[in-house]
Amino acid sequence: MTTLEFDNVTKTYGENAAVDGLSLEVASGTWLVVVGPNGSGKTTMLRLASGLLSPSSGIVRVGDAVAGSRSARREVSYLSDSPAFYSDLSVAEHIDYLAGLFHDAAVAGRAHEIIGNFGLRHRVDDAPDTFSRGMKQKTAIALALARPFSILLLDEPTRGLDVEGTDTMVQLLSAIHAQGASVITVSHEPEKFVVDGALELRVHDAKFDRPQPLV
Amino acid sequence: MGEIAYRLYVLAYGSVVGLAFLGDVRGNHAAAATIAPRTTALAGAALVALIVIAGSLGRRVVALRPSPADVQLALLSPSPRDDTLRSTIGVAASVAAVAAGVAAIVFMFVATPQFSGLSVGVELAYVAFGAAIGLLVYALHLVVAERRSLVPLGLIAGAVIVLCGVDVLSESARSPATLAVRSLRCGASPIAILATVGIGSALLWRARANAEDIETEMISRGGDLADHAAVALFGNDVRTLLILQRSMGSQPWRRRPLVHFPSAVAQRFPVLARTLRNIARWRGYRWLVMLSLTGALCGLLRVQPASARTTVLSAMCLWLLGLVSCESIAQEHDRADRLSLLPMERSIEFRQFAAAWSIEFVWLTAALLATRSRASSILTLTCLAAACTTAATVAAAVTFRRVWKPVTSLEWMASPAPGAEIVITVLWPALVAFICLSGLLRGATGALLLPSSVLVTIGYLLWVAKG
Repeated sequence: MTTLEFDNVTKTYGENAAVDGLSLEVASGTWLVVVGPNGSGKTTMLRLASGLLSPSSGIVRVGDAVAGSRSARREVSYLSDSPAFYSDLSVAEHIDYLAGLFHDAAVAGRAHEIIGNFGLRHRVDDAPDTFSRGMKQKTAIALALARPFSILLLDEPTRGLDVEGTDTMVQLLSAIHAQGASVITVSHEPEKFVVDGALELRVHDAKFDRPQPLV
Repeated sequence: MGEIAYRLYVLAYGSVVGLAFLGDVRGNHAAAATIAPRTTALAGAALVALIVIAGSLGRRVVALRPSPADVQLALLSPSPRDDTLRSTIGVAASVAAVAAGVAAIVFMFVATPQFSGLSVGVELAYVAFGAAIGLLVYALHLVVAERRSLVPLGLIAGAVIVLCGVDVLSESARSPATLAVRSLRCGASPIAILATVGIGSALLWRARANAEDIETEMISRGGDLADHAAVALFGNDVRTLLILQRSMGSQPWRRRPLVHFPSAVAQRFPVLARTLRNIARWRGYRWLVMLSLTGALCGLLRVQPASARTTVLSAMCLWLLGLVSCESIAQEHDRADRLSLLPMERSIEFRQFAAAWSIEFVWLTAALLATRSRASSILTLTCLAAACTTAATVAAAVTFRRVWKPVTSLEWMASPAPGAEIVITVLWPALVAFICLSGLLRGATGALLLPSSVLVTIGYLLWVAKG
């Protein structure tokens, strides 16, 4: 499995630091919940790990690869805090596209199964752009979980989800974690992510504490 | 400085194309003799289309676009809304009046060969009458905007426009719109102008007085989209403008595609299927617009094959066709974080060229056949147009590549670079199409292939360098 490592990483926007000197090693199979006030740098940390952003200084590694490189992207799945879909594709067509890009029909099977778990099987022929906030979130989660990965990055995954949807998602994450994947999630509701061995990473004003057991 | 340069560039580009087209028509007596008798019917069709568009947009109150802060603070406060909207309505009505005045003088210039010999007073009267009609149409738009439901005018308007088309072909005047425009041409008297202004002002007053009933959510969304469109026009590119225009009109995709592609096929050829699924969800009107645009392009090439100025216009048409055909790539460009996170080569969407240009090729072939040209001409024009369109499409796609920075796309989207870089990227596809068409119009195949090959090669190298 794959580790995620931040080596003295700083990310600045102008004169403001969003992440300030973060050094952290996330071992494979870790369950980490990042918590902190708005604007403290949680989302920037995930985007650095996914490769969407480049550090101003320092380096982010996924295994031996630099975050954002092709081999790193093979290991990382990222759920954005604002899911985006193609306006002209249905859910089923999104799934086909994803499976085609991975050359793996099993991706489609897993995605349809997760869509079914969320109770959206009857809407697979509709465009997700026409869905409610919660239904979009469920679709985005299904697409993020269906593809192969060993590190899962989730930014506010419970946003817009109903109670049943949240329970279903946590069950899915637990199953994935049990298979050895790392789950790193940003959330303002850490109590929903309490599992055995879970860690909490607190952040204030771009400064990250050491991970502690999540209680 | 770069932003100002870009605005000047857009203005100059539009002005040069417009003036070149007008100059062509006026300078070519054969073309003027062909177009002038048909101008009334064409203007009638345009007027009907304008009214329908104004009514359709009116439901979303796009022409009333106060700032989001105005909506959230002023319009939701207990203060009278008409006070807040007064300046907005005044500015928009003035813009509509000026634009219509300019349109009226252009119309008379094209429609009446002897028009430039008339007195200044007559010309001013037409400008004033056009402005008054612009004011009236805007006021009607506002009145319609207050209504919760719009009378389904589309079918009626479509029938009237078809009649206008018959008028154009037969040089007759049977359509109500043609008859209306003909009467307007004779009606630029002071009394008619004052009456039109009076009716328009009364409608504006009524619309302002009823501002309390306007749905603020719609105002907010319409205002946001209009602001984005303004940014797209002056700070970004035409392709973005096309996509925003579709959003502003709330024109959804076809819920069920025209053609269903089996999952097995789509998963085997994901990029190709993704493009074709985009096309399969186009609505009927869009197919018609594409065919009409292509048909107009072909018609232009046939009427004035030797005009370099017409070539500029044709190049722009080709460029727009290329941009629309690349729309599925454009969606990647807009949210680059979707594909850039997947573990595959970042040039994958570049392969969509093949599908995109082949679709365009179908348009051009259909339009060329519709012009009922001789068989040899069809073959020649089809081959050359396919080559031109391919070049334009590739150039349009290279534009996306040129400005697309996948890894740091979010940072790029937060601060789009205006100025020289955008000017170059926007100018590039039009330049390719222009040079190709110049070769086409001169009938020299070598002159067509050489410059397009060089330019496409340069674009490819730019893309590789960026990758």
